[in-house]
Amino acid sequence: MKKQRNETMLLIVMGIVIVIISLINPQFLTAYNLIDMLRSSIVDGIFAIGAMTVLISGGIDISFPVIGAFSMYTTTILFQAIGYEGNVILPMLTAALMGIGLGALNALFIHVFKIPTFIATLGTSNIISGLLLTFIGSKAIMNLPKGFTAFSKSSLLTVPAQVGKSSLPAAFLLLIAVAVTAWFILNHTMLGRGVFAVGGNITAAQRVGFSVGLIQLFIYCFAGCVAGIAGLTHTCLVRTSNPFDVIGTELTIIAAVVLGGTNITGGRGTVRGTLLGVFMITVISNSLIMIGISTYWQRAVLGLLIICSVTISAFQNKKKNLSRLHIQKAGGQR
Amino acid sequence: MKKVWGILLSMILIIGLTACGNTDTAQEEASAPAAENTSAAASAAEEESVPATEAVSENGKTYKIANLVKQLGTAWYQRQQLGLDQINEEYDNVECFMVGPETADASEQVKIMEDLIAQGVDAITVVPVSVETLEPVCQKAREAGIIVISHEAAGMENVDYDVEAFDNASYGSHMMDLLAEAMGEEGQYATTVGFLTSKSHNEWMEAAVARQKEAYPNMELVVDKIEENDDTQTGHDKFQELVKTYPQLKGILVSSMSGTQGVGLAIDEMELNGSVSAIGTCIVSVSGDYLESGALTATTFWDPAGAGYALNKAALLALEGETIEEGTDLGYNGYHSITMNGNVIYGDDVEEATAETMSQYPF
Repeated sequence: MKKQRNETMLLIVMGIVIVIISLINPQFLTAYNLIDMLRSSIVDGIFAIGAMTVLISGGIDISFPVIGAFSMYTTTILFQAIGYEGNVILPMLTAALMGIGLGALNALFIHVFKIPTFIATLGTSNIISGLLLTFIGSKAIMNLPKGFTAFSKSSLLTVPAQVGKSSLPAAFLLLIAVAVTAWFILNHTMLGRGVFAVGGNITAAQRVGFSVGLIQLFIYCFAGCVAGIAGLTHTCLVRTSNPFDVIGTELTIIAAVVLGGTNITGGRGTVRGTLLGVFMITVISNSLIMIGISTYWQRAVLGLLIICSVTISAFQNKKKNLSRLHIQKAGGQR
Repeated sequence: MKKVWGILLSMILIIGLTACGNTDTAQEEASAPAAENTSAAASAAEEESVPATEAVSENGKTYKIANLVKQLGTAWYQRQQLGLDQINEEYDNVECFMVGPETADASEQVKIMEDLIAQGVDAITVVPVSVETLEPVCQKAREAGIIVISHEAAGMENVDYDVEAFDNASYGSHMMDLLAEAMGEEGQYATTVGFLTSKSHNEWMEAAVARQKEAYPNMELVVDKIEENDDTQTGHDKFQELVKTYPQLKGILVSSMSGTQGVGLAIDEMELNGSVSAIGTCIVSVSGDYLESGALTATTFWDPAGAGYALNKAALLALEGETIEEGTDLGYNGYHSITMNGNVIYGDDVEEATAETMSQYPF
C-alpha cells in the first residue's frame, strides 16, 4: 500500500493534466493521439529503464545517451559496410552488445577505482563521444540498411486519424520487452534485490553477503545494453543515424525517472512508475500546441509543469523517508 | 599501489576530457586528406600548424581563421567545410578550420569562442545559435584584435561584417511564394523556427507571413513560429500535434534542416503526402527521400559551401586590410557581385529543389 502511494499520486496529477488538456481540446482523448504519444515515448522509455536501474542502486548515470549514440552509429556503419540485407534482430543484438561493453567500462571505473558514479560516467561519456566522433565518424547517415527501415515501417496497430493515420511501430514491443525484463530481474531475482540493497545501504549490503562488485557490473552493463537498444531504435524510427542525436537528453530522462517515484539517492523505484513518468513528460511536451499555448510561453509552461510534478513526488518521497526513519528509531523492523 | 592506480586513472580521464574538448580540431583534421593519427588531438593540432607556417614564411604571414558553426557534423556544415577546404587549397597564407558544439547550444558556442580568443586566432566566423548570447563574447574577440564575421545573423552588433547568402526577407517571401503556389493560394498554414532565438529563421518567417498578408489574402496563419529545436524527432512530434489541432491544415513552412526532415517523416508516416504541402530549408542529400515520396513539396537552401568560402574570403580581405564594398567579388557562385547594407554582405544564392530538379544538387 505504502509502496504504491507515489504512483497513485502521479496518476492523480496525470489525470488532472489530462482532464484539463482534453477539456480545452477534445482531440487529446482520441485513439490516434494516444498512439502518437506512445510512439514518442518509446525511445525515452527504453533509456529511462536503464537510468532507473542505476538510480535505484544509488548511482547516477549520465553516459547512457552517448552509449546509445555510439552503439547506434557504429552498428549502422558496420551493417551498411557489409551490405546487410536481413532483419533488424542481428543489428539490435550488436548494438546491445556494444552497450554492454561500454557499460562494463563504467562499472570498472566505479567499482574497481571507487570513483563517484557521476564523475565516472561524465568521464566515460566524454571518452566515448570523443572516440565516436574522431574514429568512427560524424556524418549523419541517411540510407540505412533495408532491415532498419522495414522495422520502422512495420506497425502493430494502425488507426485512421482525423487526417491521415497514426500507427504504433513494432518498436513498441521492444519497450515492453525491456520493461518486463527489468521488472522481472528487479523484483524476482536475488540479483535484483541486491540492486535495491546496494542502493539502500552499500555497507549493509556487503555485510549481508551481496557481492557488490558483481551487482554493479550487472547494473552498468544492463544500463549500457538498454541504451544500445534505445539508440538503434531511435535510428530506425527517425530513419537517420546521426551521431549527434539523442545526446543531451540525459537530464530530461532522469527527470522523468525521478518524476516516476524513483528515489534519487537510491533504494527505491519501480518500472511502472518510470514508464508513467516518461509518459507524463511526453504528454506535457506534446500537448502545448493543442491547448493553444503560444510558442513563446511553451518553454516556461513545460518547465513549470515538470517542476510541479517533480516537487509533488519529491515531497511524497520525503514523507516516506521520514516515516521510515521513525520506524528505525522506534527500533522496529521493516 | 593504490596511488599508482589513482594517477593512472586520472590520466585516462584527463586524456578523455581533452580528447573530447578537441573533437572540433580532431574532426577538421580527419577531413583533411592526409589525416594523421588524431588520438592526441591537442598536440597534433599544434604540430600540424608548424609546417604550414614554415611553408608560407616567405609570404610573410599565416592567418588562422576559425569557423564556429551551430553544430558539428550535420550534413549542412559538412558541405560548408568544402568551401573551407577550397580556401585552404587556393591560398597558401590562410589556414581555416571548423569548430562547433556537438549539439546546437549557444552557451557551448560561447565557451568555444573563449577558447579561440585564448588561442589567438586571427579571425573567427560564427553562425550563432543565439545572437544575444554571442554578442558579449564577440565584443571580447574584437577587443582582442580578432576579425569577427557572422553568418545567418544580419544585424548582429559586435562583428566586422555579416555575410548572408541572400537577403533574409527575400528568402522568406520566396518560401511563401512556393508554399502559396503549392496550396493554391488558400487554406491554413503554420510556420516553424529552429529556436525563437535563431535570428535568420525568425526573419524568414516574419517576411513569409508579411508576404502572405500582402499577396495571398485567402491563406490563414494558424500557428506562428513553432520551435522544432532543429531536431528530427521534435519536428516530427510537433507536426503530428499540429495536424491534430488543425485538421484543415494545408501547408507548413519549416526553417531548420532537421526540422524539415522530421516534418517530412511525419507526413510520410501519416500518409498525408500531397494533402499537406511542406516547404523547408534543407539540402537534397537529407531531404531527397521525402521529396521523392512527395512528403516535402520543395526544399529551399543555399549552397553552404559557397557561404563557407565567402565567409573566409571576406575574413581574408578584412585581414589584409582591403575594403569590401558593393559589387566586390567574393569568388564563389552566388557571391560574385555582392550587395551591402551597412556591414551586412548579401549574396544572391537562393536555390530550390523539387522531386524533378533534385538530381541537379549533389549535396
